[in-house]
Amino acid sequence: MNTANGERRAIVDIDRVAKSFGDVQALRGVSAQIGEGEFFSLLGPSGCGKTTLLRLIAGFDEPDSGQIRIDGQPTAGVPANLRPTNMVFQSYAIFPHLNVAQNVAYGLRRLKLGREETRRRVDEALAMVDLAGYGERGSSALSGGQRQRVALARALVLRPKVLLLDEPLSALDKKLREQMQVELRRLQRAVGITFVLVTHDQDEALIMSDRIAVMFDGEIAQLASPETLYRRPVSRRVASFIGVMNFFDATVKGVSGGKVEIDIAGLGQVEIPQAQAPGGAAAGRRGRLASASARKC
Amino acid sequence: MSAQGEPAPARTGDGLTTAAKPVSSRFGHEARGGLLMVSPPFVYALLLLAAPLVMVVLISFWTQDYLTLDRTFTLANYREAWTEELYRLLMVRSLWISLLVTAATVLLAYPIAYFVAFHAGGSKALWLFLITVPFWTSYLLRVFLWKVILGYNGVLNIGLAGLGLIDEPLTFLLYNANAVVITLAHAWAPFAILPIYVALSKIDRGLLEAAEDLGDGPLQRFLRVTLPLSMPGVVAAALIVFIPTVGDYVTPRLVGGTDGLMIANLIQVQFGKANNAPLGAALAVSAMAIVGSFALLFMWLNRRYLRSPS
Ligand SMILES: Nc1ncnc2c1ncn2[C@@H]1O[C@H](COP(=O)(O)OP(=O)(O)O)[C@@H](O)[C@H]1O
Ligand SMILES: [Mg+2]
Repeated sequence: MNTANGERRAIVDIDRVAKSFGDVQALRGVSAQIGEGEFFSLLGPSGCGKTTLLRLIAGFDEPDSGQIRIDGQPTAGVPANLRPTNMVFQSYAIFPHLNVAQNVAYGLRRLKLGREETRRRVDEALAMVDLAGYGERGSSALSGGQRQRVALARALVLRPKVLLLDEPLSALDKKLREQMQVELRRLQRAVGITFVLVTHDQDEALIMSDRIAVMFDGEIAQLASPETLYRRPVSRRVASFIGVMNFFDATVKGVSGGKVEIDIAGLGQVEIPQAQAPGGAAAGRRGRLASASARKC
Repeated sequence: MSAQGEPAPARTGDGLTTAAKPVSSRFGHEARGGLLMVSPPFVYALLLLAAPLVMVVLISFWTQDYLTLDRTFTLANYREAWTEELYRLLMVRSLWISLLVTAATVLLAYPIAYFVAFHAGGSKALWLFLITVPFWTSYLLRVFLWKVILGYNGVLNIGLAGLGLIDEPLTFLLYNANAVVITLAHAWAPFAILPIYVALSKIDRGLLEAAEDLGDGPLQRFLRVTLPLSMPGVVAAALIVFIPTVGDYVTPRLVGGTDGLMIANLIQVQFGKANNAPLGAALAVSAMAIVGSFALLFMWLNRRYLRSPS
């Protein structure tokens, strides 16, 4: 389901957004458009500004410059509680004084749906995350995976336009994490809500996302589909972050008829389709060819 | 796997093999060390707390016979303590004053604790330090200061008269229950601020953001998350203020006048001038039982906030 992103209407429009904390420039002019119904990931090493960007979208912080539009509306000055976004926090932030059903119903109260409708929606949301019948459980009686599902149900029950997830799986053990990756993806398709996932795990991003923004040092280095990121990373840094690659130094000998002929030191001359060559390959240029090697997936 | 089964070779060097230990020692080294450490304070508490308490309970069942005590068991003291109009009046008044003090103290302490916990930034320690400054002077001095402030020719009356707001000094300020409430509420404020502050600081900031994210404005968020999660601190503060103030003796004596007298003043009279220690003891035990019941009831009413971190 790698829809060309041109077909999607932008639900979140991030326009040259910058944010500093004291001397630290957390975001240095980031622009991106997130399509409606898209599973979008922010991928990058720790400290690159992913959480900062997510919190700006959610409304917990305001950008120093630039703007964010959600569903066409400028968000400047709109507090988090009035934005059509919901967040699954890294710590899950489950209310300890409320049971599972009360946690899930937390945001519904404002909608004044009445007892029956609230209950129905809560049950529906719990069933969606595979927690049917857990409503009366105290929140202390939950495992990490279950807490994560409650946090998910609590946000999804409000049917936000955008669901923001800050490393939702990083606290889970490997097996559960892999299971939840598949499940989150399935859930996202089922509800059709735009998901913006923050992760530092390449595999996770590649498995789950329609598109990925790879971030380094407060900037987006590349924004593309997993396939493109994998096949045609724009820089060595992106390539090495995405996965285990082999790097060859090479010189472009010539470009003709959709083929690029290159000379790889020690291996001789090779022809590759232009679609697989880095953009801007021209005769005489030296560059590196990144080739995906056998990777576990 | 032979049916005989050789004895498992003792694991060497892990010090956990119990067989090597003398059977006589019932406590481990650590436990014995711990007992040794707590025993002086334990003995101290036994002598200075438990023993007098037992004595008071015993005496409450005896009778004063001029200078000696008649040790025949009797409930007469309790009958008197619970039926005599004056005693009942003082007991009810003491509870009422204490409840007012508790309510006033907790209500005034909460915003201060909230400010220090959430808005004091890097100067938390300074604020906590400032809150304890009143303890630098003795309680007696602080009560006298309130006399100076609230008195007929006190700071407040002179100030108000100077501003032309009043023609005659206000007399409802001093020597009545109001004065006791004001003085006690001020004196106990730090004891209320600290537990509330601790409860507030323990609240995970993520929960507040989650509440906001789920649609709560500042007020709803406070009522639905901050307040319930700080209730253990509020309950602690209320108990810390309520329990000792019911039995307070100095404050009503100094600023209470006759309308502000409390049960402890009466108990003191029984042990002193009235020379009826058994009645005093019965009043004391009764007051203790009533305060204890109030405290338990209060905790029961708040039980859902007091469950261990759920
Ligand atoms: N509230 C804050 N105060 C000061 N510095 C911050 C704050 N939030 C983030 N930073 C800094 O901004 C940078 C980006 O942080 P963050 O967005 O959390 O990164 P990531 O989520 O990608 O790990 C880091 O250097 C971090 O130390
Ligand atoms: Mg982060």
